[in-house]
Amino acid sequence: MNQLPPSYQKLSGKFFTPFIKTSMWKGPDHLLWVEGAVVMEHYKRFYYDDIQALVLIGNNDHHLWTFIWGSLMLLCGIIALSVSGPPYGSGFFTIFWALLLVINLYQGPCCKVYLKTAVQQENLRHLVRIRKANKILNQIKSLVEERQGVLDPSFLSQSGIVKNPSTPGPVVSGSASQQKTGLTGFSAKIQHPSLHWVLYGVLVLVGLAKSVQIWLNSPGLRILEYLCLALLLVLSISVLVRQKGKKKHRLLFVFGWITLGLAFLQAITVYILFVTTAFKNPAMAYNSWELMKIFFNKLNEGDPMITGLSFGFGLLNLLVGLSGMAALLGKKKIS
Amino acid sequence: MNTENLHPCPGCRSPLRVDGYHALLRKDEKGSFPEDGLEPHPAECFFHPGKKAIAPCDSCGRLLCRLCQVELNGQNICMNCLKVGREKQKISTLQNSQVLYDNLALALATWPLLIFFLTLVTAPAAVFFAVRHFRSPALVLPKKRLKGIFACILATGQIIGWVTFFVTRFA
Repeated sequence: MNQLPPSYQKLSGKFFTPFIKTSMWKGPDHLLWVEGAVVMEHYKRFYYDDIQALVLIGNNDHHLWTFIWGSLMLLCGIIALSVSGPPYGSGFFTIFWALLLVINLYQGPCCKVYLKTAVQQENLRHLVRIRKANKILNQIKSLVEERQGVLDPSFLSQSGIVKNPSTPGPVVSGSASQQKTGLTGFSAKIQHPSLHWVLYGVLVLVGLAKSVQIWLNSPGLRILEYLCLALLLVLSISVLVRQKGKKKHRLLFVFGWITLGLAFLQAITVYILFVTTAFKNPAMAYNSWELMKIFFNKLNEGDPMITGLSFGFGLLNLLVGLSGMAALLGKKKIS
Repeated sequence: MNTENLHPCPGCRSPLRVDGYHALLRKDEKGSFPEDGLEPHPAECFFHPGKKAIAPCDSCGRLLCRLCQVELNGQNICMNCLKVGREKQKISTLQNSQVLYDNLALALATWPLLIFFLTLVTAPAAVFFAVRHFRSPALVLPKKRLKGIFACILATGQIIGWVTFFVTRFA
């Protein structure tokens, strides 16, 4: 009765979080999908006879990682250049983020891979880069074709699964298929691109206002900045609501969330500073106008913490705003 | 489709590769009627007396009719053996999950170090799991014994530390 476990060979590619690790193994007649959680391992078997299709879909996640590692590297680099004395810590982190950025650029574009059988569709989460995923798909393809034989794409058109499988899709816009589906351009894909432009425009404006205030203390500029901040919160929520449920333009969706998070963080910071001022001046607690004047004076005093926060947020606003604009331009260029 | 290259998706223009296989075209096949094997026959099914046996169970040797026969990994087995094999984890292809005792031992030997007094309890537990399951066979994937050994060494070190502490404190 005892059956020896079949011999498995690990397919390259991995995906792990602190608590979950996934991998894929090649068996004699099936693929073994392993999902490990600290002390437990769960298995799924996909028999070569049952695999119907493998689908690879490219996405823009690598741009997001480039942005994250690039921003961190830039921030640490600026800190390393601005500190007096040997910048060991910030220098180390600059190199560290730079290394991650280089690795990300080397690994190339990201993707998602799905394996389909008659009863399930599994996202192969360990395949995140197109280059590696293509290699693994080629390996799996040869194993499956050994069992099932090579499928002539013309069979699919005969069976009505696909209309014209042998012809690759169009590379540029204005194609028949796009016109058929109504996807004829950028405006068809994002309903209100102008809202995105306004959002990132305001973000850049806030960034510029914050940066200028390091040299120029003006209450008017502060008020303008806080008004823009409030507008930013409303705009980013509107953008996210409009994009909800649309899986296209994931990068813009992610930028929408980053913008909202950033605006929220800045609003919370301003609120905390204001409340701190109120606590320090209890006599003015019921005189909002005087309290605001004290608050603005405190901001203009040149406190190193407030200046640092202002500089950091300003830089982040500029980075996110400009990156969002670049992403919008990129989408427009493609279409 | 089946070109091994990336092409833009006609809908969203994301790079797309689709590999389709014959299983995509396969229709559901009708199963054979189990009643086919139910006519009286000298070689009787163990579970259905009077019914024609078509194969013996490769595990227990009992004769099985078409209704009772289950084919698994090229072997004919009866439902009893299948149930026992699954429950006692003797059939690796039926295992959908597994406890990794070496990982458990390692976790017990390392994580409690953050709150060091917990190691008084967890270190012996780590040694127990590492030793108890050191020789237990791998059910699905090949087992790496290095984690167990490392956990054992680490936990033993913790136990020695506690013994030394108690001896110097109370002796």
